[in-house]
Amino acid sequence: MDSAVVTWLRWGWRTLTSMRTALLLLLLLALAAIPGSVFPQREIDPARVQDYLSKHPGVGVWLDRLGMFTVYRSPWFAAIYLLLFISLIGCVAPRTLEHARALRMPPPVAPSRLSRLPSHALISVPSLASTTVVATAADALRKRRWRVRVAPDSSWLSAERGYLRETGNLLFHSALLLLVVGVGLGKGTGAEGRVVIPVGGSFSNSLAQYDDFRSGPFFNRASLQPFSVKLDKFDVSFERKGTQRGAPRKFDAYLSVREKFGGPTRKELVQVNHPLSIGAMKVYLTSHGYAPQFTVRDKSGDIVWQDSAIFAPEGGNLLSRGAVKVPDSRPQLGFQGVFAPTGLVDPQRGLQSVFPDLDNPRVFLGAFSGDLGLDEGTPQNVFSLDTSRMTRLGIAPLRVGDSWELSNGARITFDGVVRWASFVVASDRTEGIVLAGALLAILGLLLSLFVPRRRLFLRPVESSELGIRHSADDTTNHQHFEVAGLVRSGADTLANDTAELATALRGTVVETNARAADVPDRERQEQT
Amino acid sequence: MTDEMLSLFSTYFAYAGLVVSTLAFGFFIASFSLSRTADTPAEQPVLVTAGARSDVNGAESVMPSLGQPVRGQRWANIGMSLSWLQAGVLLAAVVLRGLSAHRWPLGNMYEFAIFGAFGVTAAFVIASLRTDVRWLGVLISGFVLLDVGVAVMVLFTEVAPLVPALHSYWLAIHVTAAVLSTGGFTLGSGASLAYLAVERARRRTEAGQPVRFTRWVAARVPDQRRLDAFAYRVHAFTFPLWTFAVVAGAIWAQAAWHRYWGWDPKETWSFVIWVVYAAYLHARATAGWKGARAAWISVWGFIAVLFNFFVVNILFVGLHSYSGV
Repeated sequence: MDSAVVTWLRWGWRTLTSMRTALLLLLLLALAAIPGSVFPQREIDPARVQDYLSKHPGVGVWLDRLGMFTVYRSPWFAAIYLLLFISLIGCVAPRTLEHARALRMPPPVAPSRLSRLPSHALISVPSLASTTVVATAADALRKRRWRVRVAPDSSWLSAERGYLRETGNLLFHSALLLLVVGVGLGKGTGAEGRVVIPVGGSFSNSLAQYDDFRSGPFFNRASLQPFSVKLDKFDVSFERKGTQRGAPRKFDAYLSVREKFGGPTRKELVQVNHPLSIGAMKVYLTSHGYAPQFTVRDKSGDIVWQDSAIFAPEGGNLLSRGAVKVPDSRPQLGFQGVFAPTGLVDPQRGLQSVFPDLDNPRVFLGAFSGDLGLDEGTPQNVFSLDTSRMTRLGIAPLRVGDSWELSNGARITFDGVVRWASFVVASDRTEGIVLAGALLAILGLLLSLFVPRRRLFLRPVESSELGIRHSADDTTNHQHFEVAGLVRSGADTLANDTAELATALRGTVVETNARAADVPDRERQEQT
Repeated sequence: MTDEMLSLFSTYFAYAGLVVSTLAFGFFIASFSLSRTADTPAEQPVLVTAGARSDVNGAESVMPSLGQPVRGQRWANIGMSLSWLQAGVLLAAVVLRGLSAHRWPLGNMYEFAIFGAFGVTAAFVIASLRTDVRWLGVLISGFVLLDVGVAVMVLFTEVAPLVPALHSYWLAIHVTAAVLSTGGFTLGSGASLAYLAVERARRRTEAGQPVRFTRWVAARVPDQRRLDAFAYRVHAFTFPLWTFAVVAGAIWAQAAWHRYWGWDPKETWSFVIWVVYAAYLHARATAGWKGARAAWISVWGFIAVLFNFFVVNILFVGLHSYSGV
């Protein structure tokens, strides 16, 4: 390859893996994440995106082109975090090798003049052979998990500890990689489906029964377990007093679960924070609403439709909208309705709901006859009617038990109301990996922030040299040692380390310039 | 005592917290203004260069409380005692609220704000046991004063049980960690702000431009080396705690919302905060970013923290809609 290209590539790689670049990419990532909280996102709430687009037709189109409604899947967001992770790998990989080498290397030779180091101290020890003292010091330090190296002639000792700081640092960054890989694999192999079950209704786990099913490209559809659940009872209560009137207080879904076809049934209680586990799948209670029950008879009195119709709730008081489609009558009949669990008729705005519980259930129905448009095969919204080929027959308010005879002789009866609960059935096989990544990252972070990496050196001091600095008061039967330390990164604990060493040698610290606690860390190469 | 009584007493204690923090704020301000002896030498050009070479130990602080007794010191000590009282009073407000509601008192923004005021004060007085932080008193008591004021005037919510989504022991773990980290970030950004004030005073003096307010501040806080070290230490404690708060939130979200991460606005902003403080920690070890730039990043991080609490909770549409406002 052309050498200029190599130079450029090398420059590019060095720049990308430099700390400065990582720092800029971090700041850029923070900035890039913000629009996703400002604009509605397709993955979270597609209806709000549509709403935004219709309210701001001009700007909306441009925002859409820029990916503002799909920020976290947009190429520019991906570019930032991919570059960041490449930079991270480029930084962590060589540092891991370097650290592995450092772990096998003994501490360095002690400098010859310890008093030149930023913190040093003089320890006075009851007179003993200096080799014995050095050996005692080495033992004491090893017991405190220092890595110790003693000169062959015992003329100096060098020790280092706090390797865990760098280990923690590398662990933290590797754990972040593990976490991101776990998330990615989870998206690829996971699946999630939504299903609405009215009280008394049931669901078996097959694709056809889901209202909505999304899975990653590597999800094995054959792996859907053939379980079935029946919603026996759904206990709901709401706050009736005070300013929080109407706030939900209890959602308890009682299910009968059959793990496999023809297997035994067990009873389970599913709550918002307590999903049901069936093998690798989990069933979560996500929302709830009402399904008014109707009976429709044709003009000869035969029942042409009898069921509960799932209505979609809006707002805190659960005013709900939905439709009843009767394809088997001639001509076809359709009803569009508004349901209020506690209804109040407002002269301007029509039927309103003033409380989310079933205190005064009322429904307003609009009746249509003609062609429902179901035969064309295009998917229809189950909550609304396509009235383009239908004629309106009238509108009527109904209470439970009321019947309404339409102008064409058909009759609809509002039989009652059942609640429905909606569930998400999800399979995520990598959540364990993601959790492990997160917990290891925290562990690594704690080690890398709180373990101080430092070196300690010890040298006996010649009494002649000492005499220059000290009047010979207590030097007669005491041996003196110079101790010096170097903080490589992290808090300065040298005053403490020196005192501990002195105690271990049964000596005293004669003089020191090591400062306690308040002095900050002098970092050399802190984070990746 | 009935639940209503407990709740009423909790509210009284919150108001008492407002009074005590106002007093503490007054005393800290007084201590700042009365530090004449420290102010006088700061007029001299020699000492204005204090902190000019922040890495050199010789740039000793002209901070009043570090040694020479000055008049302001006594006032700062009264402020410190009031801060202890403030911590006690706010703790009482939090505990009584919890007893009254029969649950962990972190169910809405009011409770979060009161708990947060306690968290900041507790972090402050605990830090005072280890090192001299009286210079931070003005910022801390001022912040608590605003926070409790907004809590009782705007955010107040009657004691009520929780919505089912909050029926989880993760509420206590996740939200407590989030509140305490907010307290830590407040302390850290206070130190970073002081650092930036000293920096500005130094730069403008060097450039021969007039400096009034920042030099006045600079004369009353520790030197830049100590400010930077303090800010770093506080952030080093708080960042893992915030990481834990986010992870705990994700674990809870997996149980409650069937996914550990969904870019809900609150999640997004927690992520933004996490990334900004990660950048701060990196900046402190990067040539050209140490010092003032790192301090700016920490200040931006705190702005994101405040935004996440006040703006995201109230204005943004998302799953974390428990503000009660």
